[in-house]
Amino acid sequence: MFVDARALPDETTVQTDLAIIGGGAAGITLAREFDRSGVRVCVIEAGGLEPETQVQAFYQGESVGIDYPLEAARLRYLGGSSNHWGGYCRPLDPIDFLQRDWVPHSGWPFSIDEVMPYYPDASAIVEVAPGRYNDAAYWEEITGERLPALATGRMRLQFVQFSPPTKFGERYGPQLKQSDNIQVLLNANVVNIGAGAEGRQVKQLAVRTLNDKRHSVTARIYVLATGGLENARMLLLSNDVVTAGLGNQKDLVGRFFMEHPHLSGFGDIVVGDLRRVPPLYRERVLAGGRPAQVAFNPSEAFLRERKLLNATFMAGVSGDYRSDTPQGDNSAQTRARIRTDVLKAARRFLADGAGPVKPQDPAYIGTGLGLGGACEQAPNPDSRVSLSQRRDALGLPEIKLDWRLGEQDRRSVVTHMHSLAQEFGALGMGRMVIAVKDDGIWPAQVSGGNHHMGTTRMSDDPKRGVVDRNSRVHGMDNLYVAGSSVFPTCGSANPTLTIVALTLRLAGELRKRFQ
Amino acid sequence: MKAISKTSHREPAGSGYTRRAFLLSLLTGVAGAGVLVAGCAPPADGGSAFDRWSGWLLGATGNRDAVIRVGRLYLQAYPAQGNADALLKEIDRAIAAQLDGTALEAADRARVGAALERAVRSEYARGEVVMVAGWVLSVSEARAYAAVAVLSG
Repeated sequence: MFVDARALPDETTVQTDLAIIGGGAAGITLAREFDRSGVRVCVIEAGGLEPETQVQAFYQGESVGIDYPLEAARLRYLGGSSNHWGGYCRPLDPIDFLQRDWVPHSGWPFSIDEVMPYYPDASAIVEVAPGRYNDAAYWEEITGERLPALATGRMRLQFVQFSPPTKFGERYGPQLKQSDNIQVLLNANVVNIGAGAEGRQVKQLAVRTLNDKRHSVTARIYVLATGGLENARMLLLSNDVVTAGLGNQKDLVGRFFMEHPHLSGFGDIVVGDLRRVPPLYRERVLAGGRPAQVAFNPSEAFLRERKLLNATFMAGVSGDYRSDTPQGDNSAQTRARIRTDVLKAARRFLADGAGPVKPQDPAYIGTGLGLGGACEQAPNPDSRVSLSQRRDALGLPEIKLDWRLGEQDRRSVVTHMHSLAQEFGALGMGRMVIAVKDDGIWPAQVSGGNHHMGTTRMSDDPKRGVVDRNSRVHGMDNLYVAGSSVFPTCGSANPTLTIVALTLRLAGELRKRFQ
Repeated sequence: MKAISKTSHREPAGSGYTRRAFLLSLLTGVAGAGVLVAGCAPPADGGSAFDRWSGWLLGATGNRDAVIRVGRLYLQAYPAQGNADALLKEIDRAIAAQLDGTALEAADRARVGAALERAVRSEYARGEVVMVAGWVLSVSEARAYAAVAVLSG
């Protein structure tokens, strides 16, 4: 059932069993797990069914570190940021869960084995099932293309599968609407998570609407699922009982903010004969009705040997190079000429025979591949979310983000770029130019991927984490956190699939509570 | 250096064709069918075997200039590498390692060309690479371009 909180009588109290704050991928997944369960569920969504400027403005904030588009990076209506995700799906890697002596603050409370059973169902929810994320033989068979093995030992092939992408509000909203035991409270801004006097129990949620209605929601169990930035903000601003904010007795809430640093134009590859590069290496291939593409990942052995962070690279055709391209002397034209020079010079290594690669187009000399890369960021307590002095339309502190990247992050990115260059050279496929100087400074073009992680990190030790291995806030009996804010380390895979998998795992934990 | 290359290339395949000349001709082929070291300009009479050979190479694709430019970029980055003899010696070594004991002199151009290609791929696999104007190139590949650039004057 959908209910517009603006239309409820002022000071309505909604009584439920499970209150889920946030109707994004995690919140909707969790609610669906309790459909027809006998457990009364209330999803409290700050937005409506469509984006609205006035509502979206609540995601404004202050960026004081690496420039970050706080408002554009998230969406505040049913479905949340799944309304603009790219659909990239791949599980985290086993090493991402491990405590690595070269990555401070690394390590989940469990191995990937704990999450792996949930990935198949998560894959179905994001509509990519069956997941074949590291099964080269499967993709070779289904595409009929041989996938040359990588040669350096530095990298390995993984397979990204693409969700349509599933917009959770559109895709699963009708199910929630029809459900007898799920209520979706729309246009309902949670402004305080109200704890009891000891701060160990959540007693109620204070809700306000933009037409100035004030409601409350009471439940047995509360789950915060508002995204990796807002989860921390909600805990911090719920400070009427615990002055530092709920769950923040150890000053950990909001710290360890991680993104996947993306670099645009960090390098590209020239290919002499595109036939040498399997389509899966350079484009989304529709195989068995499902799109997939190769991701180039560092091998675990190489990460260990060089003490590096994880990364994911993908390539895509950017255009052809021709010998009749006009030449010039400005810097861009010089760079372009060097590209064609390298292609011509390396032709013997990159194409078969002496004749033209494309007899019908003798001026063709090669193809460019653009590169996309997402890299793991090391957990850093100084990379953090806190509360700004600025206030939103309801008078609450806006978010303040201080995103920071370190030298280990940068060194890892640069090293993996070199690895990719070596792989394409070793396979006789292409030559790569790296546009990022290895000078110890992060290039200005670094940006995020709208992946907000780590701000309520998971640990068995309350001194090291905000939530325990079951996503329950340390020291609190009935408050849980869902979403990528619980990731202690973030790997390099896009987070949505893992968010959904972890939410399914959380649902199992909560079912026990309701038994 | 230049004088030696000229002498060598005037006798492309006969008994006087030295190992080094063989390598040079190989490099020009490897570097793109159409590359030949500059400084080997066709003789004025235009009727020799060299003239026919170089004319074929130079006319094929025009890659000679590209090879020279990339070679010069390498020499800018590694100015101490501007000795053609040293460059050819290193390339010789890389090729020989791929020929499974076959003497370089005894191998035909196709086999030696394939050996150089294998050497280049192996260098990428082993991380034996250099940076040239941001490009990641195998050491033998870069040396090949540089050798052509040096000999071109």
